[in-house]
Amino acid sequence: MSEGSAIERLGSNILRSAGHIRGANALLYDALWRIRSLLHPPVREVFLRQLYFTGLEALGRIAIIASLIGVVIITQVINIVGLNAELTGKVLAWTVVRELGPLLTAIIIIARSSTAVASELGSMRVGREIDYLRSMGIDHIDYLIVPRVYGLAACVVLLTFYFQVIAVVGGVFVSSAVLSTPPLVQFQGIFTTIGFYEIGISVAKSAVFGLIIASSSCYHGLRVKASITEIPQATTKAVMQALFRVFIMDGVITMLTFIW
Amino acid sequence: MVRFERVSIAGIIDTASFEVRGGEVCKIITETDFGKNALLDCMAGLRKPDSGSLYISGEDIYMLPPSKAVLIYKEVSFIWKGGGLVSNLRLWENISLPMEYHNGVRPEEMEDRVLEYIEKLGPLGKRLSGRMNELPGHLPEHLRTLAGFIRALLVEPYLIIYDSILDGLSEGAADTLASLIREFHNEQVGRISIIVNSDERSLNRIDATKILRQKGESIEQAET
Repeated sequence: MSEGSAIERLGSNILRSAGHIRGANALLYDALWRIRSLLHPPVREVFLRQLYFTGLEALGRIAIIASLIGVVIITQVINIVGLNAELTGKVLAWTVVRELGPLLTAIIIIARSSTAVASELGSMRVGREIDYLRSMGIDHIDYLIVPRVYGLAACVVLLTFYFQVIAVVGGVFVSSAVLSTPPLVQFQGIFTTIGFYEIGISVAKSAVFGLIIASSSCYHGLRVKASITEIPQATTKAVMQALFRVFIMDGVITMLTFIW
Repeated sequence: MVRFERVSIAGIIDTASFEVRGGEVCKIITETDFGKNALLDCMAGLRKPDSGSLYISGEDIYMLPPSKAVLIYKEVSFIWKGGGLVSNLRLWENISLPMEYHNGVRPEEMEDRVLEYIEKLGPLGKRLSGRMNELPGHLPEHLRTLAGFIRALLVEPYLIIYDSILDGLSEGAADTLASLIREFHNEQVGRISIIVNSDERSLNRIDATKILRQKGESIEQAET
């Protein structure tokens, strides 16, 4: 295998990935401008279904994962800082609100909903349902993509907040039991650490992640052509692209907002 | 009016030119299902011909931007073989979708008209009405096609295009449906009905003012 061809392949892969990201972004911008299609009752139906499947159905699993994360963080922090209740609470809230809340929620949604959206849209492509919608004068971006983009973004924002509350509250109660201090002491520490700025950044991060997840899933779902064997490939690409973009944007937003 | 102007689709049609005017019932008989599907896709704006133009409502649909082209089809209905239904919507939701989307008509407001059409379909309609709450994937093809038919009728299009509409039906059912097609066509002055099929025998029940037949790669008008 020659060095040249390996480098060529690497370059070609990078260009192809960049092209897919550009395509997903273009789809996202198109969908964002078409918010008015939510005025159509059938589009609102799709939006509400998306909220139900991505949001409501995930509440149980997110609660469990968030509680466990809270316990894990508290355990590690106590090991590092010792028996300092206030500092423990601060580190827990800092970590969960600034980083782990948006990131882990996004990962859970990618695992649950990214695959579902990509495979559903891919199936609709293979079954020609998108063509049938067009023949009824219904633009598939308005009817299928807009409600999914806004629905997924809304779910990620709301579920992130839900995750953070459960992780922090769960972690505080565990730490109170271990440290034999009232939870209120730790909550006071948390409220001095976490202000509107941190919460605002957390909301912005989760909204960006939600839009990324939606655009990657929809883009790869729509790229399926005519074969059912393309669907699992599309779902894999949707997940990988969503993960990659989420981690990149997490790093960018963190650097921009908390370091500079 | 629907006008094909020197339309070519590689390997299927070579410079076909014909028009179907307001009030006409036109049967188009293709040689193969493949040719039929290509022609239908072309008329639905899904497959751009290799050359030539296709005019619907006076607009060259392949010269319009996609966002404008899709709007042409608000007043055009296709009845696809198998219904052309959305798989994650129940039958009733599929039937009410275009009216609800374009005109904001609530499903309950359409109920009377749907029941009227179901009654006209006789025993077929009864079988359909019992399954309105099911997803289309579980239904036989002819019931899905009928659901697509009722969906199309609700829109009251000025142009309606049928894809192998009578295939797979019993004699009695085909007679009922053919009669309903005739009745619907005559309800509106200037309505255009185009029935496309590769099997000529199944179209014998429908009287047409124009018959177009594919011979090789050309489409010629036949005697009615």
